Amino acid sequence: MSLVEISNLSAHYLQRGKKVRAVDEINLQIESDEILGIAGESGCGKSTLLKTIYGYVEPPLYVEKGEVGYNFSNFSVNNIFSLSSLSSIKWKKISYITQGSMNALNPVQKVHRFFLDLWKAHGQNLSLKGFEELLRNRLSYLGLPEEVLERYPHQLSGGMKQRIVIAASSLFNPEVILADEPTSALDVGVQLEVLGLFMKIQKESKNTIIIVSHDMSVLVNLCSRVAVMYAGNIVEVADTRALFKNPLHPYTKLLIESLPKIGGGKELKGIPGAPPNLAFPPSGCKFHPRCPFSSALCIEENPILAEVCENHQVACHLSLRNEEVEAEQ
Amino acid sequence: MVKSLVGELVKRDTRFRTGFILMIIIVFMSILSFFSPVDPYSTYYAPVNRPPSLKYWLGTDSRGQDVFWMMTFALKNSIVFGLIAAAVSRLIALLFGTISGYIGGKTDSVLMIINDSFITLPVLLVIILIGMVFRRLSFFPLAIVMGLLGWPWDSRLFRSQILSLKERKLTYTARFSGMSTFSIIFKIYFPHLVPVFLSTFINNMIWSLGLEVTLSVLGLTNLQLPTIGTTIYWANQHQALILGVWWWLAAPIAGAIILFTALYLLSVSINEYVDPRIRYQQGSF
Amino acid sequence: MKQNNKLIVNDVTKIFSQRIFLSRKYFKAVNKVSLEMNLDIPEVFSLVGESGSGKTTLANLILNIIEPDEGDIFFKGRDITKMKSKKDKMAFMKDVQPVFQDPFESFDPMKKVEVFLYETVSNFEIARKRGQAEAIIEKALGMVGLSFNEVKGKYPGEFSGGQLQRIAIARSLAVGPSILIADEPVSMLDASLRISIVNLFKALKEQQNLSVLYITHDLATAYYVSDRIGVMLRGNLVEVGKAKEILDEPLHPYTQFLKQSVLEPDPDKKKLDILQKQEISATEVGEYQKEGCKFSGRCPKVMDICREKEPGYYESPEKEVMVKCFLYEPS
Repeated sequence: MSLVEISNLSAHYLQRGKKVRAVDEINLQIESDEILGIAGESGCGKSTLLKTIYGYVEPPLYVEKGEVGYNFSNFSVNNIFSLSSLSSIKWKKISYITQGSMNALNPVQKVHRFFLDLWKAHGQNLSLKGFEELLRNRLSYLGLPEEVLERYPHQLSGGMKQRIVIAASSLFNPEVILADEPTSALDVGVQLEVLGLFMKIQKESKNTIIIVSHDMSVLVNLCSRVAVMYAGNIVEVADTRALFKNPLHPYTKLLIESLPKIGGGKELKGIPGAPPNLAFPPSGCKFHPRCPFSSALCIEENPILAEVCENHQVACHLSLRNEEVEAEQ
Repeated sequence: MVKSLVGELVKRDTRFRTGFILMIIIVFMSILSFFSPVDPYSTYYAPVNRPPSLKYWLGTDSRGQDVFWMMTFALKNSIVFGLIAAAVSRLIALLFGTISGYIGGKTDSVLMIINDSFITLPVLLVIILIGMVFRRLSFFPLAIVMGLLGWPWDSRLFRSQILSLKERKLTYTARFSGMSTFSIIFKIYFPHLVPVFLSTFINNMIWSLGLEVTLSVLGLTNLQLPTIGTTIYWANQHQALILGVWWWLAAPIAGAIILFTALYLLSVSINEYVDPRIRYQQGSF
Repeated sequence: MKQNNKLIVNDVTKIFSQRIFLSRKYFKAVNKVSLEMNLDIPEVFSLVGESGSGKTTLANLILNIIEPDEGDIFFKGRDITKMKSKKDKMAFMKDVQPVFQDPFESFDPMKKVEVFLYETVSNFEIARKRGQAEAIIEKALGMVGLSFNEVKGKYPGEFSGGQLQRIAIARSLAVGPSILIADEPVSMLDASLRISIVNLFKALKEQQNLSVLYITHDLATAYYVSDRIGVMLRGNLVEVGKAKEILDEPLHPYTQFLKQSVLEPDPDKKKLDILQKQEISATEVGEYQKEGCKFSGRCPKVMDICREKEPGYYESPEKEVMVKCFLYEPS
């Protein structure tokens, strides 16, 4: 039984009367004790997917169909699609670090006020003293000196602010931590530190972390499994090593090939064209206009995500065809 | 561009639609004044104090005037007054704000000191003073004086818009495209200022009209000229309420309420539309 | 006199102030930086550094958007800080053009993109009539892989980031500049689009003899596209030289630190492990105010002298690299 099971989930934004389907019939199983990466470029729907997993679904975002089931350690629940529902889960079983949250700390309040608000909203089962001790432990666990509580956000560096956000989101030891682009605004040295923290937290509490990033290097280094999204669909899911050594979907292949490396000497090519406008997606497989292997079938039918080899799922007619050919032989 | 703005707002915003319709009613009334069979300055041509009837739609007043036709003139004059005052003050505000914002430095400091001194002027008292010194300000000069006093608040608004536009990368692109300072201000900045210009224009009209009514009721303006304010003045002078000639007061007050409501609704809906968050969300600008 | 076709930045310093509550601290955003680019031999020179390194400030100094507090900048023999006349400034802008980070900010969302294209062509008097202007615009767009038909009549919001950035580059190319100053031109674009823009710079260098000053924090693209690299730290240029030489075997401890910290998209080269408790890096202003070498607070090879005096530039014996580090001081 997976920790989080997403079945046939579709969610869209209503923009001027048009449906922009940012999450399109997603099926995904998320296990406990893993770090899952969601890769993809701007407009692919990865942030929206994270929002629906957390339950942050507010107009203009609507869930059209599908289910998200949670099997936490002591209870199970389905479909927490609004911010106010089941607030006993938020922050304690599942927490969410939004994009740019380190810049959302209140600039006119000292940091300890932020944690005070957190206690008032979510920590009422603990006394204030108990909460403060928990906080102190977590801060030192993350390498933050206690005096940051007495500072204002602008006095802290980007790395420190992000650590504070991570402290807040991991404070009650949730079973799932969702992080949307946690390192994209940070310098490389700080990025390394912050990712190291995620790894540390996961190794010791054995929970699940889901990270969304457009930076493949981050996902390769941190995650055990990676799901690649394109135009609202998941096009490939596999263990990290398998995905990078043997990418099956043409988009994944082209994406990995377009990444420059220090020490690499090859001539690199990007992917021609641009991601589609989700209000008017192409017919069939949404990648077919840019795919060097597209066929007539690809224009008609959107391929379904299917397991092609062990722990490696891909949504591509080409792979399915190859598998059938192999099966026949 | 203004047409598309108006078109969109009429479609989307009930307040704007309502304000727009009310405004059209008022403008229609004002245009009727050109077809008036009576001369607005003449008096005692009709029987006095007659209540509204089929012959005299809004009745007659104690000076023997037809209230309906007097209202058409009053509304026309009030609107023209507001337009002149608002136009004069907008131009000064735009000029001051743009020069101050774009040039910056010491020029900015000096201009803003002048600006802020004007803000602190107690406008009502100043105008009353001018009125007493010059014995009854006539129409045009008064409108211009209003314009000369009504600009300082909004010049800071234009200034801050210009300041933020100056820092945006599109200014650098414009400069590296070889555009002169003049070109940049007129061709690039001003279109961004149009929505704010419109909304403050209307606000200013409300402000100057309100002042005009106040001054007229106090008897400091040219009382022969029919405006909303002077009508109320005369009604008070002739003790209309005590005599029971309520339609003489009701008409200008109703006219004022409709006019101010129309202007307010227009201003509020344009203001909200001007909010850049809404605009960028829609992607229309 | 022989045309001097060089961009020479000579010991340039720019001082900014930051107000922290009631006190005002001054710091040198750019500290005695010198570099030289010979435009006769077109090259892609990358200015690499993290946030607060001063690379954008240096770019703005070279573009003459701001003026240096000390030092000079010479372009083709002329001191650009002393350009007063409109004619001189126009001549300068015809030769030196910018490309900014966010293409959606570079254009006016209320105007069609072609407005800036036409303005550029007419203001620099490259074309007299409308027909001529269109031909030049078509040619510039062709250099970036677009055609005028694709661009005509459209507003910036109708393009993708990659397309719009190409249009911005085309606008810069329309005047036929000798050098493009590109400030983080690809950091807002998706990974798959970055390579095409960066390849474009390479192609322009080879086909149009265009030099590019490419400012970035991304070492990987810098490695891929540059001929030479300058590494900046807190306003100082700490290592300058041939790109591949520096990044294959960095000499300055800071460059080594950067290279070590960059994550690679290769599962065989993972870099993360549980980090021990580490002292968090000082706030930005703190590092600026340090005496001596700005990296002395974090340098694993720090010596006493590093904390007291600022190092000079020393040339590495085997490579064409200048390093600002006492480790390489010839004894």
